[in-house]
Amino acid sequence: MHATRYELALYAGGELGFWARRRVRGHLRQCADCGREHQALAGMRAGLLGSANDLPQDIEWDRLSSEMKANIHLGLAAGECVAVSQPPTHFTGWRPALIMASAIAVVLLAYWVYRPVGPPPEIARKGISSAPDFLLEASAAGIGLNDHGRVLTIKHPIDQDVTFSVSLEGAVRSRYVDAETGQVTINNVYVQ
Amino acid sequence: MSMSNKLPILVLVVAAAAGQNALNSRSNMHITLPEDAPLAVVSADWGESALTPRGSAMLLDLHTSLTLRNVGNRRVRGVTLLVMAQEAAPGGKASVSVPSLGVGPGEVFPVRLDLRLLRPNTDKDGPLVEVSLDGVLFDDLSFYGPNRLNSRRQMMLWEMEARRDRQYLKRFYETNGVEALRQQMVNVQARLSERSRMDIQLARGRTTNAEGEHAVQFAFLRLPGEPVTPSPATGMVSSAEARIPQVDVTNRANRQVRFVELGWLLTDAQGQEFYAGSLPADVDLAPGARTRLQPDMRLKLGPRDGKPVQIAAMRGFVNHVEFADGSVWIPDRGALAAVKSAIQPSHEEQRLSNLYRRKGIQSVIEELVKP
Repeated sequence: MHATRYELALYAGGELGFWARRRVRGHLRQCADCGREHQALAGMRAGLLGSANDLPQDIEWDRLSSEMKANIHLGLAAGECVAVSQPPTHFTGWRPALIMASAIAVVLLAYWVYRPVGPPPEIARKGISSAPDFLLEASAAGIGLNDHGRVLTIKHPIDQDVTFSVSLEGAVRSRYVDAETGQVTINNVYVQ
Repeated sequence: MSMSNKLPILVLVVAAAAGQNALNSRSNMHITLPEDAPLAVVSADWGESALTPRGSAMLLDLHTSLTLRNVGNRRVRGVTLLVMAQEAAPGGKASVSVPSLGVGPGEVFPVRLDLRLLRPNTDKDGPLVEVSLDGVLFDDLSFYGPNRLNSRRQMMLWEMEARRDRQYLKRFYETNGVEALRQQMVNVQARLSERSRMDIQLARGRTTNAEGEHAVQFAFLRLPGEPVTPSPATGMVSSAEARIPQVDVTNRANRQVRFVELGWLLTDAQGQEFYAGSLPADVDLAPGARTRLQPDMRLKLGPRDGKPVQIAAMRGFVNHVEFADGSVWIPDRGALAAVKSAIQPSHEEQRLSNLYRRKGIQSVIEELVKP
């Protein structure tokens, strides 16, 4: 498959992309027709560059250069609309993306296989409790701290008179008289 | 069991029930008392403590009864043990206190510890729970211990309240006789049993759902002899949730104040008042100086007798004050008459009424006439 005239023109000006430049260069080594075309375009370009100093003073070369490049790109885009579709090359289109995606998948798979066994403690704790946002709780079952699923509870005998009190510095207290010993037992659970 | 004062006890807690796993022998409880502690561990009965896997965590149920001996030469009035659960910071800290003791030198006494701990199922070695001594209060009000939990102050306040109540009941008995004292004990039982059961949740910071929140006045009772005076404030309540407001407190005494505790009473929509909690604060108040207490907690009340609670009003009173020299002020019983129906019986009243229930009125009288 020959290189197009537009590709040869851009190649002669050193304005082709990396992969396209490699492909055109390889083709020129094998194709005498395209080689001659390229030589002609390169010669024209050299001639133009050589006569650049002869241009009238009021010509703005930078602006002209920009407009020419824009026209070339516009021509290439317009050509795509009518050109016969080309078979994809090895390094353009979806294949590089597929190769990269496969490589990433392999890395992710390796990480998944060799990841630490078991969830991190924080997640493990959260998985067990409903994790309310309340920190300290007092109920018939006892008093305790529930810090996002992390639980510490001091229990008290349910069949005994238990009194609760909260301290707004961050503590909950329960008090009961032990039925066996007759001793007052006071339990405290603290936020900090 | 060794009576060494430094007694690391490693105990294997064997789970017997179905679904419970035997503990690794290194996964256990660690009890440490300082070398010079006035108490020694005589024995530790771990009862039916068990470890149950819960997903990737483990649930540790400890039912422990420690027997401690007074190895000092002073009578012990109170003990506080610090219970620290590893890897549970922040939080994971608890304490068990036993006030109103009367343990003479060489005598032993029990301390029960019923603890449930949920912790990640890690392969780390070491104890699951560490128990240490935070403080011991003696009958001369001297104190021993690291006092990490400020247990000196708390046990001192409990002891002062206990002495106040015992003196009151002793005078009451001497003035009114046995039957009147018996009726007092029955009344305490009635106050305990008539209390409504209510779950309490305490959380830090502002609520994210402030729907229906409205302001209520937070007024204060004036108690005779109170060394500090709180200024009225405005609190915010929302249905069964209350946020205590900032409160300005002025030192009216001629001594430096270093600790203030305010009692907090709530009234529901039916007009029933109940003790919601306390607002303790470490302060540094010179005579005449004023400071602002800025609590950052909110209180949520569960259903009361199965019915949702609607908070309608709140008021407070000065509950405790500690001066810079370590002495404390507590309100006398007469001053608390205005809130008697709302506040709970003191722990000493509760203990004596329980003694009456178990052993009769004569045991209470013997307790009251003790020196």
